[in-house]
Parts: sequence; C-alpha cells; structure tokens
Amino acid sequence: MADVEVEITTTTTKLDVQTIPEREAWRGPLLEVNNLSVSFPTDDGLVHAVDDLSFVLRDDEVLGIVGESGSGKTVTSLAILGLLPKSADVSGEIMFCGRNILGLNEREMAPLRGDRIAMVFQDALASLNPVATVGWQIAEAIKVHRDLDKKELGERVAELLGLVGIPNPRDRATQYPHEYSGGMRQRAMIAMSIANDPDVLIADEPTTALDVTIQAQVLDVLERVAEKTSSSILLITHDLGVVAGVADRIMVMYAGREAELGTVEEVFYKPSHPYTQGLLASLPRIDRRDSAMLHRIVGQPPSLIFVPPGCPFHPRCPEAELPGPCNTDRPPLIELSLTHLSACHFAERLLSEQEARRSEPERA
Amino acid sequence: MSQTTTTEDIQDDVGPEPEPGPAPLLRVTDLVKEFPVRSGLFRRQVGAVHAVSGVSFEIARHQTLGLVGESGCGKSTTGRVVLRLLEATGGSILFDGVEVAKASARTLRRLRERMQIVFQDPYASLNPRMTVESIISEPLRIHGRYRNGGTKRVKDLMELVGLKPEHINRFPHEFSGGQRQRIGIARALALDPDLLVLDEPVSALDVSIQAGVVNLLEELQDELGLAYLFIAHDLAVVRHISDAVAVMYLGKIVEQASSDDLYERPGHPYTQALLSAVPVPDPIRQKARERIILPGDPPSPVNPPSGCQFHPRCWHKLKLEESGVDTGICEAEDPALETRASSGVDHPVACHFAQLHEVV
Repeated sequence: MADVEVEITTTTTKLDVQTIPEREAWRGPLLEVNNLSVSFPTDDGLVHAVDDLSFVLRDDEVLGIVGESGSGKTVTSLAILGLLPKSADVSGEIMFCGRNILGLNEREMAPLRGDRIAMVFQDALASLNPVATVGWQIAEAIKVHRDLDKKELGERVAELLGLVGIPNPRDRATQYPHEYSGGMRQRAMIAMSIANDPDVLIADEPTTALDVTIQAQVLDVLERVAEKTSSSILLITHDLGVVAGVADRIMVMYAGREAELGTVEEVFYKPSHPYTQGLLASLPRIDRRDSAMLHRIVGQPPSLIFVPPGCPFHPRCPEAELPGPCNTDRPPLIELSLTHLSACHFAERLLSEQEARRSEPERA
Repeated sequence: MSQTTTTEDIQDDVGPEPEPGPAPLLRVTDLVKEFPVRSGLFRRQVGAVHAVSGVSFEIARHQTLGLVGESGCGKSTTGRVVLRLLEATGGSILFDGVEVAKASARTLRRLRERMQIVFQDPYASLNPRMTVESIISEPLRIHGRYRNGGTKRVKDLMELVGLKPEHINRFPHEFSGGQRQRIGIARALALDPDLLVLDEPVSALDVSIQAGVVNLLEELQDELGLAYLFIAHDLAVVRHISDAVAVMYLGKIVEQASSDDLYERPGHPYTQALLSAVPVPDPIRQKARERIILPGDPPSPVNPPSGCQFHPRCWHKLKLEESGVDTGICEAEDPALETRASSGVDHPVACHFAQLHEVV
C-alpha cells in the first residue's frame, strides 16, 4: 500500500476533509454509487469491467456483493477507494456523505483512505510489511490520521488486537507478520482497517484463502466489528454461504452490472433473476441429502470485451426469449418491492413463480 | 440423466461388473509418510515432518471416498503416496491385490495405466506449449497405445468430457478454467484407468462452472465404473460426490463413515467444528446454526502434540473439564480409530470421549 505517499501528504490536506460532512451531520445515504462505469483499454479492445452500476450503502449495514471472477466486484471497491490504475476510464459518481469522491486526486483522497473509508484485502501476507512489527504497522495507520502520544498509541493497538481476538495483544503487537498464522494475519489486517473507526469498511474476499475453521474465526470477528463499531461494511465475496450469515442486503453482480439487489431473505428465498436462481441451485449443500445431479448454468461468463447485447446473461439464460427483448434491450432494474430489484425483463413473473413455489409446502 | 440416482441404481450397476469379488480395488493399511528435516553443515537429519502417520482406508470399484481436512493435514500427500508419486515411509498400498509400495519399475508402469491423477490448478497442470491433442495423447504415447487410432481416441475423450473435438489443435490458453479442468480429466482417462485420484479438482473454479465439472465426474463414474479418491477441503462438494468420507487431522484419520452418516451424525469434536464452520447458503438456518470456533491453528506436523493431536484445540475437552471430568487421557494417550459403544455413533471415531453432536 502507498504508505509513504500518505505520510507526505497528510499534513497539508487536513482542510480538504472538512468539505465532506461528518457522518453524524449527514442525513442522506452514507455511500451512493451512481452510474459507475469503469473500462480498461487493452490490446484486444476495451474491457468493460463495470458498466453503469448504481447502489447505495446505508448507515450501519452490511452489504454483500456477490459475483464470480470478472463480475466487477473488486474493480468497484477499488474505484471507491480511488485505487484504480491511471489507464482506467472511469465515469459516474461515488457520493460519500453527499460529496462526489470519484476523481479526487491523491492529495484529496489520502485523508479519507484508512480513516473514513478503509479496506481489508484478500491476501494478508502480501498486504503486511514483513520487516515491521504488526503493532508498529497498526500504529502507523493511526498516526497518519490522529495525533496520539506513544502511550495512547500502544493502548489503542492492544485494544484493537484484543477486539479481533488475538490473545496477549500487548506481546503480540511486538511480533512480526511471519510469527503470525494465516488467520491471525487476516485478523491483524482487520484490526488495522478499523483502527480509525471508519464509516465504510470494504472487505474484499476476506476469507477466501483461509481454511474453513479459520474462516469461521475471521467471520466471527467481522460480525463483532459490525456489531461493536458503527462501520458500514461492504463485504465482497464469491461465497453465497458467507453472505447468508453476515450480510443484511445483497447485490448480485454479473458482467459488471447489478443482476439482483435485495435483503438477504429476498435474494435467498425469492430470487427473481435467472442468474441468482442458477447460482443458488448449483451449490452443493452440506445440510441436505441429495444424490441428484447439480444444476448447471450452461456456457461461460462472457468476455468483458464483447459483452452480449441486451441482457449480458441471455446466452446462458434458461428463461431467455429469443429473438426478443433479451438480446436487444438492456433490462431495466425492475422494482419488486421497496428493497428488491432485479435486472430481468421477466422479473415480475419469476417472483410470482417463486412465491407460488414457496407457499406450496407451507399449505401442505 | 434422470434426476434421481438412488442407491439401488448404483448397486445394479455394480452387479454385472466382471470381477465383483469381495476385495476392494484399493486397500491402504497403516500408511506412513515422513519428510526429513535437515539442517547444519552436513545436512544431517534433525527431525521429520510427519505428513501421514498411520492412515488406513479402502475404496471399492465404482465408489468415491472423500478425504477432507485443512491445509497441511496430509490429504494431498496421501493421494500422491497412493500413486507412488512419493515413496511411502511405511505401510502397505494394495491396488487390486498388487502391492504398490514395493512394486518393481515394470509392475509400477503397468499399474500406473490403471491409476491416474487430476490436479487442482488447471492453469499450472497443462503445458502451455502443447496442443490439447498432444496433452491428452501423451499418456497414450508413453504407454505405446497411440499408434492404433490415437487421434480418434483423443477426439472420443474430448467428447466424453464435454469438449468440442474440433478444438483438438488449440492450446490451453484458449480455454477457460472449467474447460482446462476437463482437459486434465480427459488426459487422466486416456488409458482407461480404474482409479482416479482427484486432488481438489474443482477448488479453483467459479461456482457456476464447478457444478458442471462435478456432474461430469459423476457421469463418468457411472459410465466407466471408476473409483475416486476425492481430496478436497470443500465439505459441501465432498458430501455431494462421496459415498464415504474420511476426515484427516495432522496426518491421521480422526473419523470415517458413510457420507450421510458422517455429516448427520459426526462423533469427533474436530469433525463437528469443521462442519459447523461451513456456512450454509440459507440466511435463516445459517443465523440459527451453532458455530464452534476452534482456538488457534493446526499445530506443526514436525512436532505434533502428545496423546490426541487435537487436544490443544479441543472444545469438547474444555467442556468436559468444566463439568469436572478428568481428561488426562487426552494428553497421554493417542485414541484409536474405533467404534465406541458409548459415543452414540456407529462408525469409527478417534476420540476418547467421542459423542454424537449434530451440527449441520
């Protein structure tokens, strides 16, 4: 991470932060992404990584972003933090407490990063500095934004390590990353990211490289963070099981666009986009006896250079009516309830089918 | 394919096999694999990594044994020792009555035709400079079976695994991850093996692609009567595909049972913690489930703990101690993998205080 740059710039930029209202003073949505598009020029053509994406992260909620590789979830989170490479072509708005932070320069972004918007990366080993103690690195993250004396810093570091469940936090703070196990490193990363009580915490596949018992430890910490701090969490993952337990709302992404948005219950129990339905049906379940074949979504995720016209899912979609609206018109986000949106031309029909199916066993 | 494949169907398929005999296809007994730890000027051996210590299991034809556990538990090493890609330190591996561990180079060559492996990483396991034809035909060439209709065999194999035969001259980079894994499977099937060791075959794939490969493996098993040693850390996939499951911890099998029995009636505290940690894609159930959080990480296999190797992390031991039970035996004595009448489960569990605890 760009620790050095941050250090140089902070002294001069404290003023810019003032223009973004404090969280308590802002009554609108905490983070609002409007019509975000990100594309990268490559030798083969323009890669449309994110295409006209809009969503809202509310106060004190956990929003799960689910999608497969190449669906644009990570690019979205990098755009929020202003960490996209210079070659990226970005348009749209990212409103944080009512101010557009998309396109802010490094000097303006630095005071936000790690203070009001923080991130937990997937690979904790690569994200930690191997030649500095874990405590020093966490203290560094605080010092950049706060003036604390040495004693206060030490106490805050120990408190943070304790919060993420690291035993003997005072002794552990003086150790180096290689003395930590994989799960402890990831927890130390979480401690670092919540060091300044951020308004928005972005966790990008925080458990993907971990064993299942270690994943359980880390999820437990994330749940504790969601509960004990006032941070809103953007949890990015490909694992529907992970979001089922932790998230309040879910956005399913496909080919850089939103496929379905809703509360966890809506997305899991009344999925109204064929892609969501397919994903849920294709999961083998640990809690069920089933010897039947798994449901399979035919075909491959599309190339982001040649995204299919109309709905990008139509070549793989069992519901697609061709020729018809599916391969000609991009489906709008159809509002199924105040919280439930689906980008499918037939969303309403799919929803009523789901509702009919769900109420059947109840009646029986 | 019909939607329901009942157990009767499977047994019917096994019936007309040429030699249904009582002996299993693969019988592994007390398998041990240690890697030396060397240090100092003369690279003297100062210790050993006990990767696999005394593992026994059987796989019948047309059956799948799932081998699960966390990274470093020795499951992949077990798979490799079975194929003798690594030499065993001790124990016996009987493949169709032939001792693999002591087989001569010539016998081994013949055995290798009948046991093959599919690797985890579909990107690293295919040579980027070889065409699909040369990748899939390589085993045929090595074993002198290419001359008579080799190309046709390659095309048939591609069709069998759901690839288009007309892509025979393409290179691996022209395929997606799921398709590459199919190429790896086609290569493993080229010599008509009886046993496939599948080492995390779907872990690197996206969810929507994973289902296709899992289905393919099941179809191939039905069609060709293959036996699988399915090594994976994803417990949901393992439940779906396996007939029986063995759970490994630090080089030992701690619990072994039929698939449904293991998931519904686990008796070992480690299995229970492992199962409880797998998130279920059902928000209401997931939020209501008990999650057993194990403290710490698996210990080092260089210097494993005394007695039961799981005792430093065992949540069940802590509970027993709280209620005043003397658990000294956990630190003193290595529990045998056996069925204990008091445990409430009727399959072998390696725990002194084995007790049924439903978590799924």
